[in-house]
Amino acid sequence: MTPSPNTSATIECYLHDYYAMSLMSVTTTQDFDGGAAGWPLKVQTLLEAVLVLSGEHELDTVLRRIVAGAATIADARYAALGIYDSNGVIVSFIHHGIDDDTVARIGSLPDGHGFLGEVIVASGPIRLADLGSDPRSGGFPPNHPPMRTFLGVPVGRGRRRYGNLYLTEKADGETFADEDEALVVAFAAFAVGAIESAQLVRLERDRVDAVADLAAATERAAFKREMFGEILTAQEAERARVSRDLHDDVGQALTSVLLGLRLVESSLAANPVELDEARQRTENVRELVADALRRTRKLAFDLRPTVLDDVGLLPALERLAQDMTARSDTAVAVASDGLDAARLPPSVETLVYRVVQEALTNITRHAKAATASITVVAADGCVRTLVEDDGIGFIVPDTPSRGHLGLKGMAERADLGGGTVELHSTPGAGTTVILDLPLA
Amino acid sequence: MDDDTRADVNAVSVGPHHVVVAVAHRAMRGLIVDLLKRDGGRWVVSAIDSVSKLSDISPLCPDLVVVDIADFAAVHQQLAAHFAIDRVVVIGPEPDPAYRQAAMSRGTGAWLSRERVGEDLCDALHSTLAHVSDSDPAQ
Repeated sequence: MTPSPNTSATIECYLHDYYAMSLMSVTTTQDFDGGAAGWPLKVQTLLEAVLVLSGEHELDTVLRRIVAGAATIADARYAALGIYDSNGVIVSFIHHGIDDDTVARIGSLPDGHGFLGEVIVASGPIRLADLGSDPRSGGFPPNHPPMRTFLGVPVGRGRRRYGNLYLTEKADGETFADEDEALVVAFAAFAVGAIESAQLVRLERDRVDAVADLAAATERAAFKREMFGEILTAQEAERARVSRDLHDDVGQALTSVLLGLRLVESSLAANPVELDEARQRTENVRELVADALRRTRKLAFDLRPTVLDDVGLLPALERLAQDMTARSDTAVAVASDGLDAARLPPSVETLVYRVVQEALTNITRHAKAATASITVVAADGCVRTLVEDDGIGFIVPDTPSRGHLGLKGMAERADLGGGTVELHSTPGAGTTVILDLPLA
Repeated sequence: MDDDTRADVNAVSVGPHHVVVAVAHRAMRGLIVDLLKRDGGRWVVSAIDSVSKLSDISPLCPDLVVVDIADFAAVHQQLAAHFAIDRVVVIGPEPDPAYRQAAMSRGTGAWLSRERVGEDLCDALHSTLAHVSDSDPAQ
């Protein structure tokens, strides 16, 4: 069954309710001294930080809000959250209080050695009055701001450890107090929930995305199969047409030649010899052979013009334009820039020729155009080909469907060459096909 | 109907047999007409230049009709409606017996390949006439 796109939103609502209930539980069971000065404000700060946290399910934002919330709760100038892998290596270090320029001057972020490494393996909070004087401290790198007071709090649930909160430089210059530690520990507990819920939401979104990607891939595969089938059908139809033309058109022309020769023989065998008639029939046979040659040449050109291989793209396009101009009501012109006498790679020449041929076929069949133009421009390692007409135009479909095989065929050909085809058309305002191909 | 054969249309007689050449290819049609005209005066020849004019055949009352395989598929039903199919001679594209079998299975009188038209058409017409006669000895 395909999951509803609203699944992740439902989970988010559920998590929000879960947070609200958890918060009520903590604030009613914690043994806070409501009568002591400072506790109500700190608890309020904690509640606000938790509420801010609970409204967010993007993991990166959650992590930044954890760091900022912890700094606010403990009134610390600097705060950071180190996320590390199972080997104790910090894989992410989100910091608060140090501006970007200072961070840039410091250079690399902490890697979990020194005193931070001690917190990583610690099972509970650690507080220090002077971080720099602790023998476990490895000192600060150059350009690092001075940090003295320190509070480190693990962020985890049970045996699962996500990382540590690091808070330094309490704003009033005092060391971090018991209530700071208690509040940050409580906040860290909420942070775990926030991290897990964000991860859950991310997993669910990834799952929904994966299902959507799979559905899209299946649809694309079905589309490709359908199109491939249509292309094969069209290819077979084209081969059948060529075969029929060879059998019937050229075949009948050559049969006529045989008949003509037979009649020449008959005239020469007559008694008396019908010399004038034999001469006339010989002349007729010559015309028949010339006609058969023209038809054969036309068939060969339709299949693949040898001028494309022998001379190049532009002469082939000019021949195509002349042919269309001669047998339709559309006058076709060819222009180019940047090609000169240079040959393009054979695959590019073939691709451009076929797309132009398809575009011209569409113009002949549908556009009712008086004029059309083919423009080929080579520059900056690319070749751009435009086929424009002044015909009736049409509404370009979002997705070419059955009946738009020509459009799909052009797009597929361009894709094979690493290029693109754009189609621009407006009813009454003609059509433009733009083919862009890399030359490399 | 081609101008060069119009004069012969009403010349059907007991002796020479009337043949209608119903071939769309202009040169081939004209040359078949010429070929038959040179066959010792055995044939009175008419020609129609398009398969769409097959309904013209009935008033001509021909003894035989010659068609090319290129037109045959399109004209088969019309021929059957306006003419006896067993008096139709089909010119096929190549000497493949499958073409002969296909044509004969549709009841046509004779079949010959294009490269043998000059040599075999008159014989095919004669054999078709003979076959028609033989098929009903009572007449």
